[in-house]
Amino acid sequence: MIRVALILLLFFAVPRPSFAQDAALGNCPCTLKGLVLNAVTGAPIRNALVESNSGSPSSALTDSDGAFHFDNLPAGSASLSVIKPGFLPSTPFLTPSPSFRVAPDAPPAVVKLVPGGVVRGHIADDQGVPLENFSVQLFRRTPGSSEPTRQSFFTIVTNDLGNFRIPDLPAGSYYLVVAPQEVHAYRRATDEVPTGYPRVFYPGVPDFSSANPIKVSAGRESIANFALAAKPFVRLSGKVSGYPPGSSVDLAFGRDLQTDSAQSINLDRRTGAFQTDWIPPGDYLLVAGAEPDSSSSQSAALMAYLPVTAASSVSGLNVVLLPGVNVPVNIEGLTRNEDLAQFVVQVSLKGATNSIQAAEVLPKESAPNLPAADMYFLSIPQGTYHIDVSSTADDPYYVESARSGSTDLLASDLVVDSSTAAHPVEIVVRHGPATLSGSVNLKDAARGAIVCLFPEKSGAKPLFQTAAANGSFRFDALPPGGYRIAAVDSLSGVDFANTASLKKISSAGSTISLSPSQSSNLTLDLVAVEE
Amino acid sequence: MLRRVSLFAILALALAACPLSAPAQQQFRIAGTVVDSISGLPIERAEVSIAPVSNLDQAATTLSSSSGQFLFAGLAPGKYRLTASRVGYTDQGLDQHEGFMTAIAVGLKLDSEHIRFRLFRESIIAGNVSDESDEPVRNADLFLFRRGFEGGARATQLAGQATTDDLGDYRFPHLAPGTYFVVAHAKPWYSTGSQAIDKIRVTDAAVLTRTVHDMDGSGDTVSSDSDVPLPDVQPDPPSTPNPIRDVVYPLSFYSNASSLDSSTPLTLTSGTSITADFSFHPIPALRLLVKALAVPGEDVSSGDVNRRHPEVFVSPPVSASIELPGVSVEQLPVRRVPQMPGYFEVAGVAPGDISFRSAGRNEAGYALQSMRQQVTSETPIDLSSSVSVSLSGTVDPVPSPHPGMSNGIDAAQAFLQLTSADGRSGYRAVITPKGEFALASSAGKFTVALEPPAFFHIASIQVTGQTNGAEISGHTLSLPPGASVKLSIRSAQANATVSGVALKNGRPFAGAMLVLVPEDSTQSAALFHRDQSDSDGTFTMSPILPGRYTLLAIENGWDLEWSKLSVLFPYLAAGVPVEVKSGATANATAKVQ
Repeated sequence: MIRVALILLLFFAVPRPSFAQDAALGNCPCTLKGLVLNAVTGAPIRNALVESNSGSPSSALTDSDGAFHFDNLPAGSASLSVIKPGFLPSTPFLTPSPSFRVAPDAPPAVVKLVPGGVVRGHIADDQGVPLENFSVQLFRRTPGSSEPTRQSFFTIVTNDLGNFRIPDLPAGSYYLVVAPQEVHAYRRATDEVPTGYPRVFYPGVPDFSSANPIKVSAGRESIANFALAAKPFVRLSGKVSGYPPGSSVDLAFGRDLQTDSAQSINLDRRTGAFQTDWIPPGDYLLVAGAEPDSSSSQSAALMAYLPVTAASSVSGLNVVLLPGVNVPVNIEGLTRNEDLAQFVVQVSLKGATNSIQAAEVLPKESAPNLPAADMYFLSIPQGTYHIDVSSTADDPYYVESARSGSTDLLASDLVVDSSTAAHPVEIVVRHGPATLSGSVNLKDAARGAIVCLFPEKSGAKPLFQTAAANGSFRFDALPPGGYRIAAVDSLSGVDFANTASLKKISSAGSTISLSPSQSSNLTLDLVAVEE
Repeated sequence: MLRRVSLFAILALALAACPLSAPAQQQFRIAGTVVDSISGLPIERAEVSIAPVSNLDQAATTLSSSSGQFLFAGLAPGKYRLTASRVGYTDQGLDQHEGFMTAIAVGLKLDSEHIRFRLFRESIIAGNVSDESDEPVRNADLFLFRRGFEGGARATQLAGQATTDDLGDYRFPHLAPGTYFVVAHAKPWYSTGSQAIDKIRVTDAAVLTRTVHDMDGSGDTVSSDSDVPLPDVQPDPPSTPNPIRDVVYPLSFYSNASSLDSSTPLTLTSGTSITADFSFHPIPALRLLVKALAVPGEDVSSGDVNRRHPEVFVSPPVSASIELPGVSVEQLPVRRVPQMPGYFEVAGVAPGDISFRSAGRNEAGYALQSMRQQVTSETPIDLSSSVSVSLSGTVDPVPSPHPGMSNGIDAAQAFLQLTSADGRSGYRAVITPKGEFALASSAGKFTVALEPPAFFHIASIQVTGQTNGAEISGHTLSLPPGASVKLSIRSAQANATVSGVALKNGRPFAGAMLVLVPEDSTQSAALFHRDQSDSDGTFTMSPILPGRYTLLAIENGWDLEWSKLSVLFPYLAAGVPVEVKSGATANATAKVQ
């Protein structure tokens, strides 16, 4: 939802001609001359498209020396944005373009473009035969978390030579996961254990926790090759229990990162015994659900999540259905009732990044058995959850606190068990969030930076952001208060999940205090972190 | 691209999943050897798959051994389709011809264990696409055409599509021997309305990893192969046209030709590799004014036609596209012209063949008009002027398209299609549930057909009342200007089956081409049917329109232009007459010639 709002903004951000004219600035019409350069090599970039918010025509292509000019401009200033395939845009998404002075004596405008990095590689089997139609997914790790970001960068498929190329990458650390686009189970007879290719993370490991990142520098190619071996497939089997006799129970399984489709599972609804089809070895999540006993007063659906790591076949799995929990959610501090609709409160089960569920706003009459609340998570399985609050309200809010009973949800996860229903999630929001933006002095444009923001409020989690190619960053919707801020080289390999590393970064950073609705702008130098 | 599905959705999907049931008897085997078609040497590690003809989703796969052997055991009796693939070879069905292949019959007294699966060494067409500055063109669309047979006549058909990578490179691997043509399409990346610019703009967006609690959860992927998720907004025309950006690349037919007919054929023998590079040069884009199909008393530009008549839905009411045989290359941007009601502006046009579609109506009724025109200048195009004929009538029995059939517009709708003799223009009208149709068309000579074609055919056409100068010959209709004509069309449903066995010297023969020739062979090609005999010599063809046919079995018939009577004539004498009754299965034994 945040994303939709951002895209709308893009259209407002499109440069509009400015008719402001200040005769006092000099004798114009003037010509704005400029140069487009490669930020890493300093070489001129030819055939780059330069767009100006002033002048007609408002766009130009650079010549073979990287030079461009806009003629007949009124005195004042013109903002320029430059794009060129293979380079990151001069103006990061949703940020204003830099302006340049337009006057008879104005110096030439110099715009530097950071070239994108490339990850390329080759996938072959253990005999060196190229593997075609393998999907290659590139993603980042959320700093400070052990989980991959849910936003993957690219998915690409190997060609007939087993090769893949992923261009246009900003500098930083990336992870790769490869898997056959279509899972083939090779076998000769129906009674034989089939073999096939499981999902593999770079550099050839089965799980994300042991994956190595691939470091990408601007304008460079990083190579990631894979030699894959077919592995015997596995089966998961066991029993689903905890549902009333005759209830219609369902069981499915998927994978946390790449859930492409439901796979086949054989469930005897009478006994609860189940067995999956032959599947590649790996991590899976079993999900079960059943309708509650209609004769009992208990109305919540029965649910169960069971993560399984299956290097070989696993039997005797116990999937125990428990009543799903209805968690009431209250939002305090809204100045207008209709703003409630602008809030999105979501939970996702820890370790199962695809299990996102949003709280729903229910009219009173449709929820007669539920305690009065602003919204509800309905029938969520018992377990430990991440919780997130976001808002698209025109007059922005920030989250002052979020609690469940005595648990501070800004610092800890939400544990949902049979007692949770009694403790609504209480979220307090306030108008007037602070904004912190600025740019990082990049010593080497090829390497990029990560900005770390540490709230001084005890228990609050640090925030991380990858700076744009030109070093700019922006944190929105911040609660007012004191922060420490520091920028680190994005290729330094610092472990953001390590408390000691974070402490070091934090103490090397600078302090800033933000008051309500304040927009603060900072220039940061990179702090040194040894690994 | 991988689809991300929430586990909650998976749970819902599981409701639809059906448990596998174990067939009672599983005792048969399919076995054989994969060999190189030329050398005859065994091919190891080929991926061989079988799937029951009755359920192609239930595939099983194996890899051939070091001596090229493959084996599937524990099979239930029935017919199975075999396919094989291997790096360096074409992907093939067993003894494949066009879409037909020899299925392996498995059962008592049937030999299914001595299959020789001949694979052709692949040929490759690969190349690079560069622009006027010798820089790579990214995301250029490449279309591969192959000279082959369609409807029993020589035809050039779409055989593949590819896209260039960031280096401007593309590849068409796994090609079978044959004659090919390559066509490239791209837009200058810096041109007005270019998607490449939007893609570059959002490159950084993916960097904005927000916080530890990034719970946006939209799961959106900025993917290299899909369009960037930006709103579908027609940009305002620039206040002052910018000659640098108002440019296009014309379609490029290898090498440097302007049509498929004049392009250089690339002839591939088994195991060859051909390089086909393209170099694009921009030309100024044309802007075309197009007047929509006339709709007296109704404002086409208001969109009323679409709202009230979703059956002829086109949005906007005029559309323009670049088409190649069997594929739409690009939908051109169309914009209303507020100052000129009924007119639309098509931007970004390169000189060449453009297909226009327009929905409209006259007193007779609503219709969808399509027209292909060679565009060379900015002369406005009037789709409405020539429309002067009112055509209406009934179709009996009312054609009801087969459930699940998709005709690209509406799977539940049947249409009456008029196509001009040169194939460049056509009109399409909806057949109502009562069997009525009414449409506005231009004067001229048209062939009449029912759409979708598979299950219903026209049996006869008659004019009811005044002919007003209209003439009918078979399925061809001549309409004079200004005429108002009522037709009575008899339809017939293709609901029968022809099955049997192909014999040579009294023994079942696999891989023969079977042709079912209608008694009145001047009829439309849609009434011809073909099949390939399976390993036990048997075949099944459906759905067949009831009537009298001659069944032919030809041993090496795959290169015959069988739609030409003169080509088929020598075989007809030795054919088998077959009478096909409505809803029934006719059995026939065909002698292989």
